[in-house]
Amino acid sequence: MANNDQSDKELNDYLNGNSDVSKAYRASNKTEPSAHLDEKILSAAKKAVEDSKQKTKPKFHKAPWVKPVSIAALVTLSVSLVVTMQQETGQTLISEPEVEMFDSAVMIKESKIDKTTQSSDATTSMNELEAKQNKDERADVPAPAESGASADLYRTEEKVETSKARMKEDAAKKMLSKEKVQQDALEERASAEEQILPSAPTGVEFDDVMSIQNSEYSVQEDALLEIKTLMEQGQQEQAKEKLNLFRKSNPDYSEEAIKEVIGEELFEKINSE
Amino acid sequence: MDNDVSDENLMMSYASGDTAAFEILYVRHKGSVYRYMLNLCRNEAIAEELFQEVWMKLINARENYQVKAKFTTYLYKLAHNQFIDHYRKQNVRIVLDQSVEVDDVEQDQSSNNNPEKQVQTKQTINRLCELLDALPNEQREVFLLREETGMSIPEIAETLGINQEAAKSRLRYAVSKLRTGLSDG
Repeated sequence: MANNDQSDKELNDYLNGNSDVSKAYRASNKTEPSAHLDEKILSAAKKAVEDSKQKTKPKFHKAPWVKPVSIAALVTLSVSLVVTMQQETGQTLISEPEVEMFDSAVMIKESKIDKTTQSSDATTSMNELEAKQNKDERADVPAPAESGASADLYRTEEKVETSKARMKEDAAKKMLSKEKVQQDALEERASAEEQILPSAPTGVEFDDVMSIQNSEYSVQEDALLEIKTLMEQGQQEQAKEKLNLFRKSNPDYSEEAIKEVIGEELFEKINSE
Repeated sequence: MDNDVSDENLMMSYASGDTAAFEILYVRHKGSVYRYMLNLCRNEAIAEELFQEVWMKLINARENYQVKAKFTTYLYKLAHNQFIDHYRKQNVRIVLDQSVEVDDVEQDQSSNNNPEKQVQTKQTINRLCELLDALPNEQREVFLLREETGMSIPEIAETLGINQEAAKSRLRYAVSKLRTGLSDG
């Protein structure tokens, strides 16, 4: 108990600065770190601050080439992304003028088919047309060397053009196949109607057939009328000869029809001889 | 101006890039931290190494520094942890090295013209060094913190992460042993 009280007193004296222990310690300890150590630590402190300042600074912030290069990269990426998306999804993102161009191409193709034979290849003509249009468009665009544009950009444009042409071709093929299906359907329908009403062609085709048939009929009738005249004039040999020729050249012309034109009496007379 | 600015403000200034603030801070505390390390380790080379590592840790931790306690408490926590890490790694009792203190004392006392008193002081110091070395690490550390920084018992307790009673008890034992040892010597 007495020891504890003494210790507390010693401690209080020590804490108040009235202890020989403190005096002895302060007298003995005046050691300082070496100048070399000081320099090392202070330079490390400065270096750490400089490093952290450099880290926060963007290194190429003020470089003059950053802006154009980043724009070019952005454009290239965007175009390639769009092209890739179109190729992958198969969606045609054709704008209005291209659709119009496609319609006009189809019209030209139709007129060609009407004028020439139906065996002409529509796809080939479309390709030719597209190629011509592309060529015309390309003629307006200066060559890479002339324009001074970068080769990469020009190649990208070329790819876009190619993909556009391919898309147009695909669209034309689709339209042509659709048209062909419709045409086949119409033909089937027409043949079905013909079976039901064989003598009732309609529209332009009917008029054409009738006019051709009428013209042929008049020629045949004239020949028969000439034979009739020869019989009436008594030239029976010549009349018989011409009738035989007529029969050979017009095998589908019925005897009844000949009889009707020449007359029943003359017809029997020429056949009996 | 150096004395007007608090340690905490200097540290905050350094955290925002002011190296001059660090210099002031370093000059203020370098001696006490160095002696704290030297008296704990009793070896000059190890003390220098640990001293350097303490300040490097402070430099690296500057951006995360927040004023939650006194700067000295923060600084000596770093020093204490550094010493504990080293002590655990070595796992041996640190060798006594008295040469530095004795040489310093000789230099310090060179101006004193009384040779008898010089010898007496040198003997006292040597005896104190022996007594300090004989103290358990826990008691010696509490004593050194009190001597080098002037910390109160609650601050010592906070720095070392112990309760105030333990800090007070350690200090009481340390002072008692040293006082008794010096009286006997």
